[in-house]
Amino acid sequence: MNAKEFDIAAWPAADDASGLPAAERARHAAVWCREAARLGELARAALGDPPPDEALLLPLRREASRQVARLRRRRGVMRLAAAASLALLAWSAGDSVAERRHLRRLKRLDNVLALLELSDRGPSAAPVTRHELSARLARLQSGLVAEQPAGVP
Amino acid sequence: MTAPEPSDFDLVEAFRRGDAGAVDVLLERHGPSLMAYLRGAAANAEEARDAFQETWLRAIRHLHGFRRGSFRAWLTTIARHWLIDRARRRRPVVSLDAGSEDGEGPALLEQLAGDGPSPAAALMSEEELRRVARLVAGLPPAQREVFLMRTQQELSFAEIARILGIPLNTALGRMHYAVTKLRRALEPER
Repeated sequence: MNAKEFDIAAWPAADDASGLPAAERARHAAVWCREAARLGELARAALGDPPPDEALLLPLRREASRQVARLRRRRGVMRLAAAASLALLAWSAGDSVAERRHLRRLKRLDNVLALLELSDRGPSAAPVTRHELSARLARLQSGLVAEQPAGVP
Repeated sequence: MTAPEPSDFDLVEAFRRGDAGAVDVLLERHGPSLMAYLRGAAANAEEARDAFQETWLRAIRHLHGFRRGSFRAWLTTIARHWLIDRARRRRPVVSLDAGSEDGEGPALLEQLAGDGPSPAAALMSEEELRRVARLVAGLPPAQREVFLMRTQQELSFAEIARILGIPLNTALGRMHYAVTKLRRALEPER
């Protein structure tokens, strides 16, 4: 329902005209609407002029500029904070990649040391082939070496 | 073909993006009607001016938070709250027409007379305008509020009911009583 229809509804709603015949109700409503419009026009003429003067508007314009500057500052701070968060995330991600790489190297070194230890069983030991070393390494990595008796390749 | 007028919400968005000039357009669009509403609702001309300025200052400071609905209804709500706060602080409450009767301050009629005629008002006699202003000021506050919101701010009755926290039929009824009173009071003049 738009404003005009509300106006039309106002008369019967407020004056309990629902008992009147439809045509009579419509006529009353139309009269009421005309009166409301006329009085509204009169009131606008009586109260509406003059429009707000420059002395009133100037401080409002200044405030608008201040608020816009404040919003810009806030947006700048937010952008800065977002950039800092991103940099922090990237740094911490890079750090964890480097750490993982370092751990992998240590593990590899550990494995090689273990192999050397195993093959260093004295001059009587048979030479270890690359294939055997590879097999031993696989077993070491799967944690089987500890369970095997000494001397078993 | 001319570009369509930006909606109130478009202007608020422009303000959020950093266009302070959007407020100028909003002021031009809603300033005069708010001033007219306040001239009818405030205790005197000075309070109407204060209310106008404070309402807009509050609106501008919170404009970035305005999301939806009627901008004019939002503005009216701010203005009404300001007037209520002011009335609470002021003891005793001064009625709109108090000035003309007890000499406590400038009456609405005196303020209007001092404002000078507009082109629209010039079509009517000064006496008729004074009489209308006096009659509007003499309405019971609840009826006057609805009448001013409807005729000056051009709010829908649904918006008026929402702002005042009353049922729609109550808003319609108050408007009806206000119009009936004004019509009857003006009848002998016609």
